Amino acid sequence: MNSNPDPFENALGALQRRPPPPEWRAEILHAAAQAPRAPRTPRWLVAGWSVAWAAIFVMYFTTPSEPSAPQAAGIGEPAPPILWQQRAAAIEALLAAN
Amino acid sequence: MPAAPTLPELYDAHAAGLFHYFTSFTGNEADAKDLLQEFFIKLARQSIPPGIASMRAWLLRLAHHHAIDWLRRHRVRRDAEEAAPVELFATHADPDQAELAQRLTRALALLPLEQRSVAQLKLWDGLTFEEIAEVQGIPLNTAASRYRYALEKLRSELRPLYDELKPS
Repeated sequence: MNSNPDPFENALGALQRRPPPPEWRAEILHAAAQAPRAPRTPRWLVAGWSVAWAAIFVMYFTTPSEPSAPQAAGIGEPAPPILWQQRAAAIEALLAAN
Repeated sequence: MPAAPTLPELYDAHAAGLFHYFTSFTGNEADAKDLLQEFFIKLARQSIPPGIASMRAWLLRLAHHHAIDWLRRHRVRRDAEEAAPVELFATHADPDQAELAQRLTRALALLPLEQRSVAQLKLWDGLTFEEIAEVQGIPLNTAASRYRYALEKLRSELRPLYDELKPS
């Protein structure tokens, strides 16, 4: 695709283009230096967000899941002995109060 | 990883090419200067991504988008093509070269914008067709054919003078 240039192309390419006037340099660079940069998110904020998200993920994956509602209510399954003991103690306390 | 170039370094290395590229769109020096200044202001506001293979091609791609935005805003494409040609080439001590430069400036002004800008990128910025296609967001074959058409027109405009000047 990129064939070698012929003598005509070489002759054209050899002509030096006029550089922009030298006084533009200071003017343009001064204007560019004055331009406000686009606001960047501060690093401390980025770091804070990263830590917060990391903590959320760690807590999410390390916390055991809660028992599902039917299990908690004990529907269809016998309650564990400790629950019976707690219920019995609660009833006894109620009767004693009355 | 090398440090990103500073704005003055970018200006010194690339302002001439960018100026001429903008001139091919605007057709006049004042607008090309405004475009160049806006371009460097835009450049100052952003950070240069690391790992750029060709800084020249990257800047010209940004410049192309900048110039297209400018054309949309100003809708002066036709005016630009009909305006009096800007002096594009340096002053040559050799009168034959000066004459060639003058005729070439006029011949370039007669080209459609698409062909003129491709010719600029190929002949004086030294970009390959692959790079030109990337800069302008056009297919490779389109870049090559635009250049071929541009060169044919320049050749036909300049042939008598070129035949006279070329060493036999």
